[in-house]
Amino acid sequence: MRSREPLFRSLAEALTRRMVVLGLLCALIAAALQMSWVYHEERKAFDEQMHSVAQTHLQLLSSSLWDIEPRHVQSLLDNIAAAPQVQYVLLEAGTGQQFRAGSRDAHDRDPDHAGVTLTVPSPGAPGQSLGRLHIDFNQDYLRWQLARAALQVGLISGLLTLVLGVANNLMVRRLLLKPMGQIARFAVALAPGKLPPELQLQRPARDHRDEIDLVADGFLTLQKEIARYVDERTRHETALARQAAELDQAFRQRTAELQAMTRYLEVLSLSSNRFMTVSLDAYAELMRNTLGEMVEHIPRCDLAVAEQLDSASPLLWRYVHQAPGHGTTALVEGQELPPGLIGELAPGWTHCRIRGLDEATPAQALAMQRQGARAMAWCAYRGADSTRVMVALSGQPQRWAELNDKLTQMAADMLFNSMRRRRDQLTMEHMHRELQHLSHTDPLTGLANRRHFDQVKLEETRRALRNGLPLAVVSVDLDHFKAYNDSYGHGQGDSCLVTIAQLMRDTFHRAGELPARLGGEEFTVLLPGQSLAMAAAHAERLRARVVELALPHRDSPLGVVSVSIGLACLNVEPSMPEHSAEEQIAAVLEAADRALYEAKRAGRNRVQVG
Amino acid sequence: MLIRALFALTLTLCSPLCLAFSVVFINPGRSDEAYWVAAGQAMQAAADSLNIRFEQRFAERDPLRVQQIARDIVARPAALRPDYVVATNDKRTLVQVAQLLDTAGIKSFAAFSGLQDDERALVGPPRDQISRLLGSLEPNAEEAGYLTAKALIAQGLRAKLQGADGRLHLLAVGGDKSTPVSVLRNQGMQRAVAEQAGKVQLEQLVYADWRRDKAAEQTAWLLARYPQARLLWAGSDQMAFGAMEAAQQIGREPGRDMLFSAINTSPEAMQARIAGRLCSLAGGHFMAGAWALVMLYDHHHGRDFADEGLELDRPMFTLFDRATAERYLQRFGDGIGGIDFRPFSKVLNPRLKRYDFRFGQVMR
Repeated sequence: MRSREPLFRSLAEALTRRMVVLGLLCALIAAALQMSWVYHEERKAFDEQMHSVAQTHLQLLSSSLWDIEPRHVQSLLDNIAAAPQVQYVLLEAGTGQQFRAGSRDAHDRDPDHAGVTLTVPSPGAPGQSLGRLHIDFNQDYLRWQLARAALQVGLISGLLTLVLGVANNLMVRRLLLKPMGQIARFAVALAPGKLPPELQLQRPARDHRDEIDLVADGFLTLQKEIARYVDERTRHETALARQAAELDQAFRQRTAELQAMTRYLEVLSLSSNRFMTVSLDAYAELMRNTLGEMVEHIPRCDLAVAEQLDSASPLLWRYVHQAPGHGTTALVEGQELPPGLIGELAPGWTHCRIRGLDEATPAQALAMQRQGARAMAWCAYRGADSTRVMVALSGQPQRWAELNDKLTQMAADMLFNSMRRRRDQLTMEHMHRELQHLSHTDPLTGLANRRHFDQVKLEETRRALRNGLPLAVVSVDLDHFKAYNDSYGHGQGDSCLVTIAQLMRDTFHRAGELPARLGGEEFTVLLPGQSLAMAAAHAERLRARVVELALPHRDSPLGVVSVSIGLACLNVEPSMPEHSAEEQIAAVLEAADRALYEAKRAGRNRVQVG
Repeated sequence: MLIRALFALTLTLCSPLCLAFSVVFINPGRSDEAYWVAAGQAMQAAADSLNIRFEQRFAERDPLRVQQIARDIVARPAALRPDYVVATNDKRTLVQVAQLLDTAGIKSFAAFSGLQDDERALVGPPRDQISRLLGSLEPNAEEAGYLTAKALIAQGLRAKLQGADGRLHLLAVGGDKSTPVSVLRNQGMQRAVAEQAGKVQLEQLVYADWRRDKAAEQTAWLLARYPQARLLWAGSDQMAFGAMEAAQQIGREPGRDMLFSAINTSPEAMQARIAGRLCSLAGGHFMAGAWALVMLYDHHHGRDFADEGLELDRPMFTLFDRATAERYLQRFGDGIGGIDFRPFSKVLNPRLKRYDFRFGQVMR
């Protein structure tokens, strides 16, 4: 249920109402008094009238009756009845006649007919009676008089009450309500924090003080108290606000730190993930981006990682994030750090913050100036063999408030680990390539070995068959090599093989041409896309260049080392389409071997086309 | 001096022949009131016989109207104004009327009733302050009261109407308390009673205002109040008739069980006198106006009445017996007229030294 606010009712109204009620009450009392007075007066008047009747009218009546003057009698009776207090007059003459005056109706209506009865004396003989005179009191007149009195008093009192009420209302308004209203408005405006206008009561000039002045004084005192209270409160509030601002500041700082830390951790987490999956090519870029993200929240700041792989090598910039316009001179990846910038590092983790040049050692300050930096911070790890440093450089003095050693170290650790992993990866890859090379190569001559040759010959055969291109096979064999070995030793034999291999490599150096040492002094060359004639020309040039080498060979009829060469070529037209590539190349190789054999039989140092 | 004497002589000689003068009578009575009609008729008769232009206006018993008539006369153009106005002092109207006429230059004369003592004290006698009020002529009213009362008592004694105490008990109904005529008549009545003091007792005198009905009412009261009364004196015929009605109401026959007297010469009164219902009747004063015309005629013709006095109070009444009543009716029953007034004029009868206005002369 809604509590209703009581109605506002003006004091003037209440006072006026009370005054009017009082006035009406007085009017009632006055009316009652007046009525009783009027009643008394009227009764008295009636009695006087009766007295007068007895004194004068009765004698006149007596003489008129005696003189038998009915009109006189009647007029006398009328005269008596004319008195307002008299209702009805009846004269009963001794001789039987009756005279009446006044209203008979009321006489009949009022059975009491309060009144008097007088005896009319005879003028001649006082003892004798001429008749009886009945006079009735006029009750209606009395009532009317009473009503009129009441009405008069009521009217006058009502008017008076009205006038007094209005006057009272005006006076109360003027003397009480107006200043009260001003005080009320003043009081309403009285609130802590706002200063109400000064309380200036509009009142007529007086030489005395009254209750209103006391109330006004009270409110002025209250105003002063409020002002004092407000002052105190304002002081407290200011202090509180200052504290709150400080707290807020601290909180904001803390939040910012937490945010920075969170972002940092996010960056770290993301980056470490990325580093796990990044390809080797994109590594450097990722590293730079990561550095950028890390240093993002520090204004005008460059971040770089330097690495020293072993104690002998210098400390080099490895990855650099540097935005233009930071005031620092360019940091170049792969370049040596300015001497003295880092200085000697202790093993394990080291941190350093230089907020301005004045904090740096002279050597450091010099190095920094050379680099265009005015503040620097770094975090370094010196391991057993390698050393890595994450360096932040700023072109302006920095408080490095954003830096947190722990976080920096975490980040640096992550980056350094990643770099270590990368280095390990690179080593592994190198070794893998080495192994692969070894498995495809004849270790003495460096030519392809049989395994590699078998692998490639099938691929080339399938390509030749697919494209309808020729594929020539050249079989090369050193003449009388068994005797050479016997004569000159295996060392000399191997050296001879190496020289021949080199010559072959020089001869068949075009792409796709694959010279291979299949075993002992036996070499085979695959020449994809070459016809038999072209292959024969190459083979002839090889044979000639071997002879031209003039490697001495005592046990050869020529006195020098020579080679025999057999040629075969894969038919462009698939002669044996039902045969597989292996069978076809095998057939071509066999044909080449057969041609070699023919060349041997025909005196060696020649080229025989199969 | 000579010329003035000659002029006066010429006027004196020529006026009766060629100068008929005019008179207006302000009749205070009602135009159907026998007494005042008779008075007017008598004046007309006098005017006829004396060659006077006569006009009468009835005021119908209204004093205001008396004055209105006077104002009307004054308002007339000079040519139409009368030479004389005869007025009465009925209801004390005379002074105002005479003053009004006086200011307009019209001569006036009071007949029937003249100035009362208090009025005279105020405005003086005629020809004094009101210079054109020439004089007055009144019938001797006391005589009328006395004559009738005396005859009534005599008749009562003859008829032996005494009460248980051996005395005659008399009731009197007067006109009013103030009019001199009424007062004088009552005084006359009282003088007659006083003369027979041992034999007659006047029980009560009441005033009926000349009205028949009031007289009847009062008589009824009086009869109740004085059962022994057998005589009733009335100041006028009308009041006597009223009293008779009241007596008849209680079974008393006028003229037999109870005797009545009256004053006036109305035919009704005459009839009652002849019938015996009225045992005593006096009259003739209605001639006062006619006698006044005779006096004015003489005055107009240079024979002033001043030598007899300005305010004349003359006996005019005659007691009527049965025979004179019959003769009166014979002669004046159809109205007053046919009287030759010339014998009563001093101008026309130079040997006449004193006016005699008794009614008996006319009846002879």
